[in-house]
Amino acid sequence: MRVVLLNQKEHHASERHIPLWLKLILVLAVVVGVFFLRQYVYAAEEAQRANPNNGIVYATPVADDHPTLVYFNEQVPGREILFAFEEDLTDDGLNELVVLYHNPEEGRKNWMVALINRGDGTYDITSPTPAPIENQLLRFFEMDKAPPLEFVLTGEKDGEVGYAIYRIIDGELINLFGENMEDCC
Amino acid sequence: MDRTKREAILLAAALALGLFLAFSLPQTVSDREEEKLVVGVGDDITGRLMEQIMARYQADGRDDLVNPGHLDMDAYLFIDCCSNAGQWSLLSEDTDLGFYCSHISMAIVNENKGFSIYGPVVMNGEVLGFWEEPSEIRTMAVPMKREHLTQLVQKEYPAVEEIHEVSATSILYAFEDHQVDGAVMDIARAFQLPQYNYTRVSEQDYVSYCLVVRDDIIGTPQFQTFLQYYNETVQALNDKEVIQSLYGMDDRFWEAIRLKFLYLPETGQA
Repeated sequence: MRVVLLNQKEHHASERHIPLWLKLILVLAVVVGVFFLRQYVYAAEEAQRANPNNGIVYATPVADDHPTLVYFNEQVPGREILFAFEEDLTDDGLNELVVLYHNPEEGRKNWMVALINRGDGTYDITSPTPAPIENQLLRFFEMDKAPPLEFVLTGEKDGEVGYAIYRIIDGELINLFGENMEDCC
Repeated sequence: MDRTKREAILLAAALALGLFLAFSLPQTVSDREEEKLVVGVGDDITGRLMEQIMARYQADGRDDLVNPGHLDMDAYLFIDCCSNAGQWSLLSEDTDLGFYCSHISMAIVNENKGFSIYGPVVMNGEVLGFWEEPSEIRTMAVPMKREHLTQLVQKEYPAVEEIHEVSATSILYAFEDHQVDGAVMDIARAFQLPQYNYTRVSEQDYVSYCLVVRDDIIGTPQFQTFLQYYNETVQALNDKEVIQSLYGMDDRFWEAIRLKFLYLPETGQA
């Protein structure tokens, strides 16, 4: 008798299946979820495209213990290093180092120098030129596809954008862009 | 066919149809993909450059790369990049990007959100026209608002006593009318008067024009297509024989001027 009752319960349970309308709603929910997921992915892609840095590869700073940076710290002590970037800027097979730094004794002012490699472990340091206060980005490029390499430096100060293109000429950093960076430095 | 099977088929069909619609419906974020990219250029060397880009683009039969049957790219000519029309065309979105001198490029990105300097495009794009020797120039005309050119000639020609700012369109007349001893002008103006003497403005290379873009076009297929054709055209125009065949002028002129069209990074390039 007990076995018969159990079989009847199982039979009733199998008859309590999910109705078709509920299944259709579940399918609809899945479709809507997929649609919004797709929109989210496209929106993320669009946001990435709208980023002015999109597709442009900026230089990566060197580590704090980079030997050339250590040399700079020895020659010009007491400076707070913001960033330093390494590349061959004189087309002699030796890497130069571009250093952006702040002098704590000064106010809100940053500077940039290049350390030109002499090839014997020592460097010529260019005259300091003003550098942006914030959001500094640097990109090395060969703008005329001929050596030496140039670099673009951009940045801001209170929303004012600065942009300059530098090339090392006769041992100094020369801005080829013409406009100085007084708005951002 | 029993009820369970019918339901399974119905649900599978609903799911397939739903997924198909979810992926085939147009994306709201890609509306821009159907738009044409309009490039603002001045009546100067950037205008000549854009003519060559468009000619190359259309010769390739790729005018329907993104929009079948329609141009994906077009040019909008303003007389001078320093004119109000030049700047307003970009700010009012009549153009999506444009070639501007360094002074105006900075003014646009500093005074308006959502614009960037994508890169320099022309180096040594101006020439110095002169009657006697350049060292004998005392009065010089310089295009209006080109502050960097004024600084360059002051450094390069310290004997110059007077520098007059003249509109880019009038500078050729001021020079031809002997109102000044020398005139700094866009190189394309010199093509109109090849009989006179020209030399470079400065011994030091300098950037004459930049590409300023509205940030939201970077990464669109049209912009990538533009960059591809831009770089191909620049490579061709940097060949002296090619540019000489297009605009004339003698060998001495091209060797003295050292005009260079500069390359722009395509997506993912340094």
